[in-house]
Amino acid sequence: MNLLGSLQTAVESLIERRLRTALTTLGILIGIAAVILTVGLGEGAQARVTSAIDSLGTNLLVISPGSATTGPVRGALGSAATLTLADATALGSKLDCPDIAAVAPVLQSSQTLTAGPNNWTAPVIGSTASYLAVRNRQVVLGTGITSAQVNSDAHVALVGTEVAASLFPGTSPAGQITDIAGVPFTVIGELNPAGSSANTNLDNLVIIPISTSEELFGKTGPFANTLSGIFVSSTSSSTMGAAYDEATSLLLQLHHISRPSLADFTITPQTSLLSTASTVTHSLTILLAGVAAIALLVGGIGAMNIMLVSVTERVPEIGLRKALGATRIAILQQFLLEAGLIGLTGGVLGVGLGLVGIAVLPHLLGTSLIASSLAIVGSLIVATAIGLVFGVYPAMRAARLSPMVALHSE
Amino acid sequence: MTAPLAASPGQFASTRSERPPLIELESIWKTYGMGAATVHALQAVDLRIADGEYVAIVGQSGSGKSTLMHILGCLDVATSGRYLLDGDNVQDLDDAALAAIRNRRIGFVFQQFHLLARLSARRNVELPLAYAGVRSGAERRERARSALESVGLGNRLDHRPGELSGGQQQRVAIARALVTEPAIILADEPTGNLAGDQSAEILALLDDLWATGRTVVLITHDPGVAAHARRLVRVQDGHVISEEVSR
Ligand SMILES: Nc1ncnc2c1ncn2[C@@H]1O[C@H](COP(=O)(O)OP(=O)(O)OP(=O)(O)O)[C@@H](O)[C@H]1O
Ligand SMILES: [Mg+2]
Repeated sequence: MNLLGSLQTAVESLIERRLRTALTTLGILIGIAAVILTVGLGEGAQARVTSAIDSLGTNLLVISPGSATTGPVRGALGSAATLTLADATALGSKLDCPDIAAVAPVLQSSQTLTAGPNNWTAPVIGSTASYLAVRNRQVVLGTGITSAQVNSDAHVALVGTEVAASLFPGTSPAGQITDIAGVPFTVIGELNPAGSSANTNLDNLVIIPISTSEELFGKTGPFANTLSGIFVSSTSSSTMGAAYDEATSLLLQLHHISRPSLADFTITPQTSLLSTASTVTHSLTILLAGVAAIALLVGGIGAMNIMLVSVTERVPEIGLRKALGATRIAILQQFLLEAGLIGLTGGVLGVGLGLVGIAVLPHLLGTSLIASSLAIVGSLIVATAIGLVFGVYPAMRAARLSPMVALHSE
Repeated sequence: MTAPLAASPGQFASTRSERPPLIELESIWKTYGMGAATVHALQAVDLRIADGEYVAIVGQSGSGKSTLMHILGCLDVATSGRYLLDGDNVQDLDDAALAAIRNRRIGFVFQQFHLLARLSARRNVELPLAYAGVRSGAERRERARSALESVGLGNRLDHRPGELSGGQQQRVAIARALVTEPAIILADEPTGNLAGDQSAEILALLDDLWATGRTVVLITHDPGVAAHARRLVRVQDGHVISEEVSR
C-alpha cells in the first residue's frame, strides 16, 4: 500500500475512535503548551534582566573605591576614599587607555531639594558632560550639562522624571529654579524615564556639574577631593576586557600599588552583572523547562498506552489485512502514521494554546512572556517524534503478529 | 443435499489432475505449544493439488483442517516439511514474498466473513487492491464494483457489513477473494454461519469460480457441501487418511 493509502487508513481509524484520539492528543497538547509557556516565561525574564542591565549604561565599567576583598587591616586604613579627579582625568587619556571611550567621575550625596511649596530628597550626582553617554541616558526636555558649565562651577541641574514630578507637578521643569541644600540651581533639562535597575531607582536623581558638587558637598579633611566612584565605558563590548586591564594597571600605577591583590579600588564590569543575572534566570528556565518536559513525557507515555490498547483491540483487523496481502512494513507504516498524526496534532494545538497563553498571561500576571520560535519549531518536532517513538513499540508488535494468530484471536 | 454441478465439459477431475501440481505438501508437521501441552495438529501430511482442481477437505472438529488451510494459504508456516507452491519453496520466502502470495495468488473466504465493519462493501473489496499496489483510486473502485456485481451485489456497493445479511456479507468476502484474480480460492467453512438458501448461493458462486478456471479448496464437515467438490481429502487426528475421487 502506498503512503497516501496508509495515511487515509490512519486518518479514518483515528476519526473512528474520536474520543480516544482526542484524549491522547490532549496529553501531548498540554505537555507542549507547558513547554512553550515555560520557555516563554524564562525568555521574558531573561529579556527583562538584560534590558535592566543595559539601562545601566552600554559597555560600562564601574570603578568604586575600596577593595572587594577588604580585610580588617585595610579597612582601618580608610580605603573607601581612594579615587580622585586626577584618576578620572588619567583614565581619559587615549594614550594610556586606548580602549576606554569615555570617563565620568561621580561625587554623590543625598540632598533635600525645594521648589516653592514642594520639597523632595534625592541623590545628587556631581559629574561631567560625559555622564549621560557613559550611563546611556538621554535628556528629553531641555539640554544637558556642558563642559563650560563644569569649568565655571555653574549652578545648573538635570532632574530625573520622579524628581521633576515631585518638585514641579504638572509643569515642565526646564528653566525652573530649585534650591539644593538651600543653594538655588536652574533646572536645564529632564532625563528620560529609565525605571529601576539592580535596586537603584534611575528616575530619582539630580545631576549637577562635579565642580559645583565638590564646592558645595565635597568631603573635607583627609578625604577631601575624593570621589564616590568613576564610570568608564569601553569603546565596544568586545574591548571591555582590554579596558578593564588598562584601567586596573593605570590605577595601580597611580596609587603606587605593586600587587593587584592589594588594589584599593574595585572595577566591576557590567557584563559580570549581566552574566550573574542571566545565569540565575537561565537556571530557572531550565528548571521550568524540565518540569514541562516531564509533562510532555507523561503525555507521550499516555499516547503509547493508547496505541498499545489500540493495537490489541485491532489484532483481528491486523490479521485480516495481512491475510489480504499487507506486508509487515505496511502495517508498521499505518500504526506509525496514526501515532505520528496524534503527536503532530497535539503539537500544533499545544503550540496554539501556548501562544494564546503568551498573549493573555501578561495581562493577568503582569509578567512578560516571549514566544520563542526555537521552542515552537522544536516542540512541533518533539511532539511528532514522541508520537513516533512511543508508537514504534506498539506498531512493531502489530506488524510482527502472525496473520493466522491475529485472525483467530477474537 | 445434492447441489447442482456447475461443471462444463472437459473440466472433470480425471482430466485436470493430470496437470503438474500447483500445490505440493511433503511430510508437513505442525506442532503447537511445548512440553505437556504439545499438540501435533498436522503429522507428516503429504498432499498434491493440481491446477484447476475442486477439492474438499473434510474431517471432524479438531482434526486439523483449519491448520492445513492456514499452511496452504501461507497464513502460518509448517514446523517441518516442504511446501511447493507453483514450484516455489514457500519455506524459503520472506515476509514480503509471503504477503505477495496471499495478495495475488490466493483468495480467502472465512467462516466469520472477516469484513471490516466500518468500511463499505466496496471499500472492503478494494483492500487487497490497495496492498497489490493499484495506485489509481478510480481503477480500484471500478474493479471492486465489477467484483461485487459478479457476486450479485451491484446494488449494495455502499452498504456497510452491518447493513447486509449473512449471505450477502459472505458474498462481499468472495468478491474480495476474487478481486485480485488469484489462481487459488481457499474457503474455510464458508457456509458454516449461513442458513440453507444463503448457503446454496455461496456454493453456487464457488462452483462458478471453479468453472472459470480457479483452483478451489473447500473446508467443511458437511457431506452435502463436500459433494460440490471433485475430490475429497479426509483429515483425521492430523493425518490425511484417505483421498478419494468422488466421481
Ligand atoms: N493456535 C493454536 N495453539 C494451540 N493449539 C492449536 C492452535 N490452533 C489449533 N490448535 C489445535 O490443533 C488441532 C487442530 O485444530 P484445527 O483448528 O486445525 O481443527 P479443525 O479441523 O479446523 O476443527 P474445526 O472443525 O472445529 O474448525 C486442535 O487440537 C486444536 O486444539
Ligand atoms: Mg476449523
